[in-house]
Amino acid sequence: MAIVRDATVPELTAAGAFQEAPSRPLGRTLRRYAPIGIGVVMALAMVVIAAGAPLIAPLSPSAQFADAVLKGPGAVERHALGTDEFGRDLLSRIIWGARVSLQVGLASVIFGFGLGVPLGILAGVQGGRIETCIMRGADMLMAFPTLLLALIIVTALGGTLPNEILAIGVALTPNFVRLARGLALTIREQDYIVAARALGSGQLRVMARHVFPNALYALVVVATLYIATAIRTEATLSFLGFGIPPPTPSWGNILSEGRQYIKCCMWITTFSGLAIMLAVLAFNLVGDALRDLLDPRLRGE
Amino acid sequence: MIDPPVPVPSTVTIAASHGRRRTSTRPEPPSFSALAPCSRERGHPMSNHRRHRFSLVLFAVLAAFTLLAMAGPPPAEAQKKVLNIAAKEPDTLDPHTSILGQTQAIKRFMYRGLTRFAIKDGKVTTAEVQPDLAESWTLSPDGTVWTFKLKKGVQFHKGFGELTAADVKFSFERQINRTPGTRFGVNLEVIKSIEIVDPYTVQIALKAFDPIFLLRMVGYQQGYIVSKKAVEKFGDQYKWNPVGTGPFYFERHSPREKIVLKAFDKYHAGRPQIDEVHWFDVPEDSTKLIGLEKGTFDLLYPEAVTADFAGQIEKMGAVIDRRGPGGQERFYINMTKPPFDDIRVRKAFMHAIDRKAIKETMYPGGLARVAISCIPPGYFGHIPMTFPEYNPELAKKLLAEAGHPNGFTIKNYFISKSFFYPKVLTLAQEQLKKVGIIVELQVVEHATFHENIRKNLDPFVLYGGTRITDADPWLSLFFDSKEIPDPATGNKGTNFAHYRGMDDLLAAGRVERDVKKRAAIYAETQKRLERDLVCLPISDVAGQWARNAKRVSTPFDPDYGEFSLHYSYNYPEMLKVLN
Amino acid sequence: MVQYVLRRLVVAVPMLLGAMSIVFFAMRVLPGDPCVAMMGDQATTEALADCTKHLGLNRPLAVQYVDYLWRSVQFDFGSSLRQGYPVSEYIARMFPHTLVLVMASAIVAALVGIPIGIVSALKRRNPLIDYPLRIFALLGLSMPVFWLGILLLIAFSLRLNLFPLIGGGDLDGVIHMIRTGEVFSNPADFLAAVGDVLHHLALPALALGFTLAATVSRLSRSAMLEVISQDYIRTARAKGRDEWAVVYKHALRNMMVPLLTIIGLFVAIALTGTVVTETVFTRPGLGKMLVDAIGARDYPLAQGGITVFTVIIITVNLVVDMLYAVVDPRVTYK
Repeated sequence: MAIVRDATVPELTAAGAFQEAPSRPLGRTLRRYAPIGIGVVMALAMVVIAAGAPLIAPLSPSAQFADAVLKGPGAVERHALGTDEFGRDLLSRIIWGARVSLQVGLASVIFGFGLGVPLGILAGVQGGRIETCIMRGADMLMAFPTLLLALIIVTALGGTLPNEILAIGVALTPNFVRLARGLALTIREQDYIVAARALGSGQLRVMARHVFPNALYALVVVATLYIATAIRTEATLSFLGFGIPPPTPSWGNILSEGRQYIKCCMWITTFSGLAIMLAVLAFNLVGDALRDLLDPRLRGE
Repeated sequence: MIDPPVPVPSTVTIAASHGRRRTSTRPEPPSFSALAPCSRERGHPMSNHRRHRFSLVLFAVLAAFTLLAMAGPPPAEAQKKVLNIAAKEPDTLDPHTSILGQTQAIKRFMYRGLTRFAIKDGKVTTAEVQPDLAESWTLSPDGTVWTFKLKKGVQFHKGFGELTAADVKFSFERQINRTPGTRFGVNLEVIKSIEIVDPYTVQIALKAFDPIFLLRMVGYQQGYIVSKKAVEKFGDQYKWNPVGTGPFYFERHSPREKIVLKAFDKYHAGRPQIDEVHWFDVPEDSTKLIGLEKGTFDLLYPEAVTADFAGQIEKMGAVIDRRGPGGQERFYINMTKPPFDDIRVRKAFMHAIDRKAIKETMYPGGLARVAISCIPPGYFGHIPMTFPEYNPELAKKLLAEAGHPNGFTIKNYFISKSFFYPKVLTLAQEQLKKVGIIVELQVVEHATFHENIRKNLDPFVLYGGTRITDADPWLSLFFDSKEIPDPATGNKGTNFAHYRGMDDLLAAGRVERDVKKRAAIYAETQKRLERDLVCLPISDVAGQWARNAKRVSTPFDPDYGEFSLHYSYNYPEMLKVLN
Repeated sequence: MVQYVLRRLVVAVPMLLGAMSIVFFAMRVLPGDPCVAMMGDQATTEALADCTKHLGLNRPLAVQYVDYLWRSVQFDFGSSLRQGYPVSEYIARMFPHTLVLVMASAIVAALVGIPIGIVSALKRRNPLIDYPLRIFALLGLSMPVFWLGILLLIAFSLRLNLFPLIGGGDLDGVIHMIRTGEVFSNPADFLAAVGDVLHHLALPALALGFTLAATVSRLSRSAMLEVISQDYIRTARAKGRDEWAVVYKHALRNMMVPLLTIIGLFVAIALTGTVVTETVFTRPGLGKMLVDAIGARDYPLAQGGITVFTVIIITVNLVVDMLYAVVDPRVTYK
């Protein structure tokens, strides 16, 4: 049964992408590459900021400046984006927050990918009991909204970075399983697979050497879009209070803390929300762009 | 960059001559493109059409939005005096079963007790009591039998009849017998038996003299009198069908939304001026603030009154009502858990904490006072204590002496994510870091936090709260060896310091009849705490909530003019809606 | 066809049981004791023991599990540990608010998303129109719902004072009036109550709907693109018909069916969104109830809530699968 449970539905949008003409002219215009470029630049910038946080951030994210509590952007020289209720520099916190968000975003997708894709391909290629078993399990997990599943796991295990990665990763795994299985089903009917089997290649070999590489393109597109989903889910979990504990900044918990001050000091919620939006946007653009680039492959889904 | 090659060169030429580029891979017959390259300039009928359509849609959307904005409820209710309160939804309206302070607040609207906190010189004090449902009482010479004479003609809500001694007996016995769900039976353990002498006279025999018995009889927690007939009638459902003798009665409950109370015409002290009370369930303080300013709410019970909260209240011209004694935020240090079993480490810990700084950051100015004793002011028996001064250098020295020259790390330190806990701990964490004590936080749900501290998973515990305003119940809960939590035996007590050093004094204080001698006993307990360094109080936070003074008035001074335990007004019937 | 439906149903039942078991054990795995949670600072040893016994939490886990499953099959989800109301009563009261929010958001998403998707598809050659629209769509997709919600609250509720701050409006009243037939005897009151509900619904539906509109617009764009590249469109265009008429007559009509099924899907999808929206706007609803229940370790309520969510998702997906099969007989199903 095809269960859909996410607002962004990357696999649907991936499948729905369309080219007007079956063949593409070789040369491309700047316009065509522009969205790819912007997206990649933004995403790369985020990754660089996250990785280089200790070097880039002007101040320590947990240092409290008692004389600069709740100051607006630029009100105090050294606090470009302002401060929060503890007198901590907002810009530094957001830069460090990128670390958390990106770590969780990337690692959880890698986890889901690493766990879900092999299972999905196995299900698609093997068929029979194994397939039924794996798919039933995946469907059962899919019946839970992503956020709820991640929420329960994080509450059960405690709010640390690895646990968040695990929680969101587990929540995303069934999506990958289903997608990989769907691709495997299509690919295994292809001639070269049949030929390989006829020539006596073992199942495992077939899966690893033929199915997986051919499915890779579509999977990478969807994985990129899921990074955006994962970042958003992490922010939501932190916002609801189930994420990383203080004083570690995460965009979601900065936004949540700032909510108490939306009347007087809007910058806290504004900039953290903006950060989340830009990160999610960046990966969406990259995913979209990848999909447009690799479209002919996807049509085989 | 090169344009993609266009199948029809003529299109390109013509387009170029109009200064415009056209790229098209659409298999359109060339003639059309050639004839109509600049369709827009020619005023293509379609573009007008579409523009027309779009503006229609836009207009429709705007109209809908405006209509929705105006579709509020009609203001026909302006005649009724309604008090809108933003707080947390109570779990139950049965006064003997709910614990959380905020959920107790609503009980005072509906219930009363035999006695009440005294109103003296225009102030309400928790140190004395006055008659309420009982109009007078006498104590037997040996101090073990209290005889209460009830006021005549006091009515219960919803036609459940007159208050009689049977209701009083029933209210206390259901708790003493530990009816499932009741929580305050432990406060009535001193009672041996209750006798009905006549419908308006109750005799309560105690096991031994109890110095604070009249305090226990105040309309608060165990002291509330419920209607026997109503509890028997509703049984399990009584918690949402409350019947008391208070100035307001329960009308209805919309779960997770609000509770509606209405004025009780037959209230024995006169019908309140306010007609209706709407108690809204609002989990977030930010929402409460916005609502107060907008006029959606008249009273707010915030989770935590912070500097910013107070500042915003001031800016909008509202008032903060401060009611002592409030709650005390303090640290208990587990003296049996290394490295805190060494008194030098405990002393170092206390020297490392800057109590004044924490208090000022959490509650600047008048929002709270730096605590001066492990027993808060306003409690009988309280005397000021001295604590190790803030001195990080001395702290480092003591740590080195105790064998930790480079400090030490505490891993997996559990702290609740609710109320003041995370903020205070974050501040303390920074201060401890400076002397080398690294605390790695694990922020957990409030429920989990309470579970874990009773499993002794934290070497020092941050705690808050308030109790009945006497040293005995307070010290018993936190320093009596019987209350040491122990997961092995299932003991979930709150003696987080694992203290055993005052059991003898506590026992003596419980039977002492002479008020002065009793005070001396509790002074001695505080001296011992000074010596053993297991308790470091930070702030005494008055019970505070915000009120729109232009809408609601109270007869008592907002600044500590009324002491109460109810996290709320003692006498909500005295509130008045002004317009 | 009937066989297909039956097969699907048969598959759904064990899936549901499996999901409910996961829920049960997930709840029990959560650290923290509901009694301690309820009693907070003032819990004493004895009081906690009383509470645990009273709630039946001291029975062996296996016993509690079987009891839970058996009761659930009879639709008895027990009573909330905190407030004591039967869970089914809670759900019955919260469900309408969430349902109304989801429907309103779906309408907003459709009203905003479909036109954008169509225009974006038609005008895909024109970067001036196409790109802003696509960026708009992407923004909606990327913006966190809670952020958008907070911004709307500040702008329209706080600063402009046009909309209420909290609450769901008099939905109880509306339902009551429909049930008792007062709709006809007292239409003015009924309309006032409906107006009140809509008044409270406007901002949350906007916030949630806007984020969903993005996906709807992308899907409509793709669906539209697929449709207009069909032969009959080209033929109509070649015949020189007004483009708008062509689009309207053929494309929209053919697009409606797949889009409708997608919007049906959103009922399930939007459930996650309601969790956050209800928190930000302090509305009563299943989402907020669920998050609070998990936080307070209110097992029966959390279990009941999650069960309802999963039942809805499974059901909606089932229905959508049916619709696909009905609409497109080419759909191959296993």
